[in-house]
Amino acid sequence: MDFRYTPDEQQFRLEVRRFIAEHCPREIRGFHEIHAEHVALEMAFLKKMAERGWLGAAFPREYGGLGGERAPMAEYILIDELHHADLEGVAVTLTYIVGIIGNTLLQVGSADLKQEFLPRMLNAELRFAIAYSEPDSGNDIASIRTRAVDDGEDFLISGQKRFITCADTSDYLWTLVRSEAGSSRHKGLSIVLVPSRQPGVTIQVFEMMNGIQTCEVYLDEVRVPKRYLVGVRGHGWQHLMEALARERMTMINFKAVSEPFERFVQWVRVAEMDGERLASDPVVRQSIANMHVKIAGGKMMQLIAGARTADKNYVPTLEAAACKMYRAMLSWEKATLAMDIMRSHGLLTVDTPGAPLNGWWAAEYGWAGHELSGAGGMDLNRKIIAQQGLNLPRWSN
Amino acid sequence: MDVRLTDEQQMMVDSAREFLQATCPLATVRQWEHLPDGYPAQIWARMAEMGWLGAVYPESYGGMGLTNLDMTLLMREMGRVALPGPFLSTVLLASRAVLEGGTEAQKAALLPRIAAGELLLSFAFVEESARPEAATVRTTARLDHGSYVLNGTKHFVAFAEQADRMLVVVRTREAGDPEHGLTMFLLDARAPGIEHVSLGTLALQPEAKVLLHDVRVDAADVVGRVDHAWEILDPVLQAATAIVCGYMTGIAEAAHELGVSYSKERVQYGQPIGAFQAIQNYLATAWAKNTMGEYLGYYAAWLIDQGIPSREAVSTAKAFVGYAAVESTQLATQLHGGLGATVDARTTPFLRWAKQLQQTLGNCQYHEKVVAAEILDRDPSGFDEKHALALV
Repeated sequence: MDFRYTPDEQQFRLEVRRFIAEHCPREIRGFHEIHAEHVALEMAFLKKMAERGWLGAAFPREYGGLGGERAPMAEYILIDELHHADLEGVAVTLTYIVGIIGNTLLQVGSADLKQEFLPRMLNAELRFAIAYSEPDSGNDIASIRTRAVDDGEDFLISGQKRFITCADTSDYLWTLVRSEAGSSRHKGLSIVLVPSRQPGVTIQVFEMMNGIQTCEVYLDEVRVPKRYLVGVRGHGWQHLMEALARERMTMINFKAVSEPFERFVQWVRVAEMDGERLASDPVVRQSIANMHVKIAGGKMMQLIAGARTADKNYVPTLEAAACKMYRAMLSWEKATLAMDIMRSHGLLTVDTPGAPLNGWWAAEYGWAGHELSGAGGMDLNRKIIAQQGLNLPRWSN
Repeated sequence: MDVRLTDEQQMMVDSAREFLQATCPLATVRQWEHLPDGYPAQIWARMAEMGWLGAVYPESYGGMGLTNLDMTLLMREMGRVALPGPFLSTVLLASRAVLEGGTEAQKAALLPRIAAGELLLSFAFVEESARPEAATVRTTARLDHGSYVLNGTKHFVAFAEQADRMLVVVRTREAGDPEHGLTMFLLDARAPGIEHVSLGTLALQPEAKVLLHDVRVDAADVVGRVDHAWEILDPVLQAATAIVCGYMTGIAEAAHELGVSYSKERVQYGQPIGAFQAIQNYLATAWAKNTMGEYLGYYAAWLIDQGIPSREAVSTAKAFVGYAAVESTQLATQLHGGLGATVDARTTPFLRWAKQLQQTLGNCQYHEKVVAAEILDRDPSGFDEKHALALV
């Protein structure tokens, strides 16, 4: 066992740390997901990373990557450092591009599709949204009704997708469809890349509790060439499961819990009210330490998964489910604790004068509800652990 | 970064598991609860033969030179079968204090005999506060004509009446700083002036309150430097705390496995109870927490082995594993329904051990107090950069 980065990895990490300090615009820090008005700034920042080859650190050279020789953990370190620098929104975008879609394309995409997409993705020229869930299909993704009808060279895709974050600013929708007529449940699904501005695509933005935007996507006989099918037709479920484990591992990185809490602890260390240090109150001390201990467990699970995925063939299904479940368990608990310690100051919202940590925790309190549902939330991930890890009986078909 | 065991560690774990499964089936462990000394002497002798009792000693004292991480892995295997015995008090605490602080003569006289299973040492440290900190020590020793005279009361001394000798920590000087002025002595467990009050404990391990009335000790039986015991004790306590996390992980895992297997067998409402989402949610959560705790324990032990500052990690691990093991064993008991509440339930030893060890070497509240001091009173930033640590 060795819980240290190798000298190469450590050097890369410090390089990323310096790069962020030097090149990251202040406007895109502090957000859970990037707002539409900051997309251009974010893409310019990602482009600078791409110029250094970082987006494709683990990808083969033929697609514009560095061939994976830099360090097996480069992707992990990059995401980690973005969270460390309060750049969760950028980490999420990067995860869409590289972590989920890039890696899945690399594993199962056709040669043509890889050639068409990967070089532009690794160069930060494309944005994506992930389109799985529907009004009647949340956790139960196998019940989706969006269908792709075979029409010669093309699919004609119709249906409705809900909670498709970043759809409004995307170039492509990574879309789960039912491609085989008469199929049901896990069989007969496929993943198709749908151009976001293709005729028949309508995208409506709506707001989540803390001002974050997400989208409803209507697909009305959208014509998509069959070469935009990802992997094997009808095998979308298997591709989806692996992509989901990657998603939980990167986008749902536990650092999104631990780093803000550590910033909060730093604030408590120096905060005073009426001339008294908050950090001298025994109740504050005990409750912060208790949350620190809980959070350490999640950080450790994240680390285990990160170390194991240095082997590119390892899919960290259980570790990822555990991280996501645990992140959901702590979502309101940590926000409630932080706000209790800040008292009424914690209710002040972003850009309010005197708001501690610029109102991050008031926003977090609204966001916490999303934690309980996003990426399977608490209960779907427990189901994965129970049924795939502990071999308990299945209760769903 | 690498979270795998080495081949040597894996072999050690495999052979320990094989031995313990063969010699310590649960029914046998339950019978040992009725032994007058609270542990099986024949297994202790076998452990000595395998080198486990002196495992942390260098080879020159008949040991194997195992690391703290190795010991944590080994303790996890003992926890998986709920093996009772004075391993913590004799091997991880008292004899290690002798190893780190004793004279060559003391080490040569004691360590090989401990490793051979011929000698038990008890560890008399905490007092009424039951906290493993220097300030708890109020028992005194005063110098009188070349020997020391000890007075005071030591609490919760495991195997005090079974051990041959007792390592006792006393205050020889009031220095203002509680960590200064402590001294360790080796006493004959039945020296004149020593009174034992036998204590029964939840995990059925014998303890005693030890009253010292003018107990006279020769100056040659001081272990380490007078007034400077804490420099030896603190690292010994830290290492033992990390290692005991391994035992608690084993307890938590074994109880969880009982819960899982029972949930697959027990049929209610026409199906195994493990098919209900409510039961699956419990078991999934406990699995995740046990795995987190397992690695937090390894991490703490590994940091100590590497000489990297580890106080925050040790206390974080002990508090986390303390909560997780208690939750896991309570869950296993709950899943066994009414049967789980019976004295003969297969989950009972695990339930008892988890709570007992949660309170041993500082409970969760105590370790959270330590964590609070580490993260609020010191500035930990830059620590990960300095040591290239991946857990930041």
